[in-house]
Amino acid sequence: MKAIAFETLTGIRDKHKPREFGKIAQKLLAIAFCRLGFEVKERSIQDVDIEAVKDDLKYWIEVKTTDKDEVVIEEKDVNGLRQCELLHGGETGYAVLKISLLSDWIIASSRNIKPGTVRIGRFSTRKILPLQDDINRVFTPIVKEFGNQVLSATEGKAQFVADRLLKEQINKK
Amino acid sequence: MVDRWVLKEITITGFRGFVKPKTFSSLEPFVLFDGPQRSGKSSTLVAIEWGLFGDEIAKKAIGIDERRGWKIRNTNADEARVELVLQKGEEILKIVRSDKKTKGASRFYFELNSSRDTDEAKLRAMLEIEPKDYFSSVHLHQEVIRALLTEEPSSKQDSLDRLLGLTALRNTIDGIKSAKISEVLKDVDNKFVQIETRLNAVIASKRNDIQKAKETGIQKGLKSIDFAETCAAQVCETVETALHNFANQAVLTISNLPAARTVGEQQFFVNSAKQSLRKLRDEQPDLKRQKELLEKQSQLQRLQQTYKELLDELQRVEKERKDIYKIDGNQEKMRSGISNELSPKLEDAKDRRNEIDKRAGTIEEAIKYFAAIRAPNEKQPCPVCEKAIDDVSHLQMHLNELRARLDEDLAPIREEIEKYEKEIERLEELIKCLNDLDRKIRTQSKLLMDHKSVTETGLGREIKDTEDPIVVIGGEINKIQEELKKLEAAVKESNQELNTIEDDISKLEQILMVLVLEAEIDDLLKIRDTDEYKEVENNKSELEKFADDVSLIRQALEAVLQESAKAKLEAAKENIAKMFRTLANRSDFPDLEIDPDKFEVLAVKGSEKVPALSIFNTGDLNCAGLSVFLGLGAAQELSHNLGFIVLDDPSQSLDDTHKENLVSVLNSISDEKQILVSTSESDFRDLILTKVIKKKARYEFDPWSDVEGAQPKEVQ
Repeated sequence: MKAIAFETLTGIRDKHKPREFGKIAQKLLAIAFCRLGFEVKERSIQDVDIEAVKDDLKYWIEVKTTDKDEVVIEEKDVNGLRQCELLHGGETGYAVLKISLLSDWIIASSRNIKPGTVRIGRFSTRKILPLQDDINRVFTPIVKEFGNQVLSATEGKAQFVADRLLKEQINKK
Repeated sequence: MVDRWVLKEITITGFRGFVKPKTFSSLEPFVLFDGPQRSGKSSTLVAIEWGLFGDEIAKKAIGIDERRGWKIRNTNADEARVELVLQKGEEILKIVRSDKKTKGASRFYFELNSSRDTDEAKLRAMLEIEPKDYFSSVHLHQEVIRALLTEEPSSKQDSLDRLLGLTALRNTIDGIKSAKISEVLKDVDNKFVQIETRLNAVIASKRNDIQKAKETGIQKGLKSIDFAETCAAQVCETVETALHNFANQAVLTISNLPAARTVGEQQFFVNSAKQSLRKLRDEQPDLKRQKELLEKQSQLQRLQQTYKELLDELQRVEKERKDIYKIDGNQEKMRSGISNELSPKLEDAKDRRNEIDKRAGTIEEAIKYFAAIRAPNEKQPCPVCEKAIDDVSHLQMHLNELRARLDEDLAPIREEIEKYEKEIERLEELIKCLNDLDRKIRTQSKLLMDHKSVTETGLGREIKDTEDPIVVIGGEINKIQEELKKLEAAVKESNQELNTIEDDISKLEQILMVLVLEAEIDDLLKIRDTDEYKEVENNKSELEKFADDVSLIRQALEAVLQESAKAKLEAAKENIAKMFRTLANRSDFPDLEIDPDKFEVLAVKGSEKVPALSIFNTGDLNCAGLSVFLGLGAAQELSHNLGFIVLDDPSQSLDDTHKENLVSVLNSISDEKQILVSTSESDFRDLILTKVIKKKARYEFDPWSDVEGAQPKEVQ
């Protein structure tokens, strides 16, 4: 990602708790989907983080952020995605972001990903293209546009700020 | 049994307990080796292993501790050699192994249907068995049973794998595990982290520079939101407008400034704007006039100063001359005083002195004369007092008195002469001095006139004789100063305008410094766009893909392993349980099961299952081990191609009932397997001889001898 996006995200992460940061990153990612013309629903069913639909495309995305080279995939993540796929069709995947200068969002298929600690590299072998490239293309401008608003929010309120920004984007459509 | 290889003949020479060649040629479906401990029974059974697998049976990997440091060849033999003859249907397989190097001959070969081969791997492939599997599923060794029944999960797992013929699969999985691909991937990740750490350090340094540049910018009046390309473009526009406005007002021309849309263009713009600003500063009319006037003022001040200095010097010299005139008059008067007054007086005094000097001279001469003569010859009357004297000293005395009187007369005259001479000398000096002063006054006057001419040029007008040049110059200077005073305000105003532009350019530079540093930070991340980085990233992706594939293969192998284990145990389940029921005959936990997930041997009573280890005694545990071994060994699902099993002293720790039960079990599997049993227990031997149904071959071992080695003999 661009340095400005990295520094803004690092600032948000450092100011707000990691869990809240995860939620904020999820909102910003959802905004990225909106920017790409997707209709976005958050935690619609099966408790999956993002449901994004555009024409014939439908994605069920679990969002994971980390500052390490691995993330923890829980049983409920796998089951949630599996159920979404079975019940509603579409493609299921993980959106993984390592907060690092040399990293971008990895939008990866959930195929063969089992619960447990999973190396980020494993996701990169399942990347969903061109979606991943499209997301990364619009993500840095989104962070530049909204990052400071989130960053300046008081502790515990940043998630609500990000949520409001996402709702505004959804309503714009 | 006909589908697998069974033993037909064994010949052993010089191997461990054997010295001389011994052949076991009547190998029936049931073969019994009996005799006392240390008589060579085990050597016979081990010779079969060595013949099949060579020195590998003594390696650590085989897992039998007592075989470490084994000696293959008997110390009394010059060769260890084992020949095995196996049969499967009509096919005869001969395997020969020796430890002796013979020129041109292989130490190992096998012959199948008269075709000889030395490739051991080929033999193993044909027999579909590896040494580890042989130990578990063909040759029941006590250590395998013990491993199956220990608390160490890895030993149990390993032992069970061997019993189930899944070692190769497990080895593959273990191989994948030991490749430690995840560690390699971690190393690769760490390398990327190192790159990132370096990048972060450089970026932190640049961020620090940005912070300083921003602070400086804020001190210059910028706001934190101003450090943006759009703001820089606005400032460029402001600067450009201001420069052109100023130029127009001052009726000056400046070249057109370049476009300033991007940071690069804006940097170029700054340089051009600075040049234009410098030009305007240098060429602004008021400033130019101010400079001219200042130069003029400076010039006039220098002229005025020089004129003053020249005049002062002239006046000083004139005053000096005037002072001399005042006291002594001019040169003419002085010369007149010398020639008319002083010189005659001097001459007169000198005459008077000379007169006295003449007399004094005579006296002097007389004195010198008398001084010269030593002594007169006779008394003469003194020419002065006429007194008779007999020496000249008396006369000398008179002469000295006379001279003293003359000196008294001469002294005032001498003083007078000296006075006149000094006065004349003084006056002559003054005349010289006045002559010098006259010359100086002339020179100085000329210089003054010349300077006046220069000053007139400087002033641009004639200075009349009636005018005081200093005042005239002073007047001009005053006029200039008045004009300068007026100009000062205009210049100040112009400079303020130019300073404002300069400040804007300085702000612009500060913004650009921040933007350039930020661009440099982004440039650092362009490392990701380089071919080298992409190549590394591609390699990483390939590695990730490979690791993912390997991981999937491992998952698949583990699934296959588990499924195979389950399937084989399921197939042998009844056999194992049946054999355990027969062997152990326990009423509390009559059945036996193996949990393939936990590699646990379980004692079973209905639905109740407990680890066998927790409730079985040694005899029961041996029964459990034998049951698993024999149950699996008798199962058709076994993967290897050997149709015999070898039981070395299987009745250890078994009581009489268990032994009888074991014989029953052996009877039950004798249709499937050729059975080779060794025992040192006579009761078990007798049970075999009386209870085993199958046709038997019996080899009885006499006590071992140093010279002969093992001494088996076939008992009919």
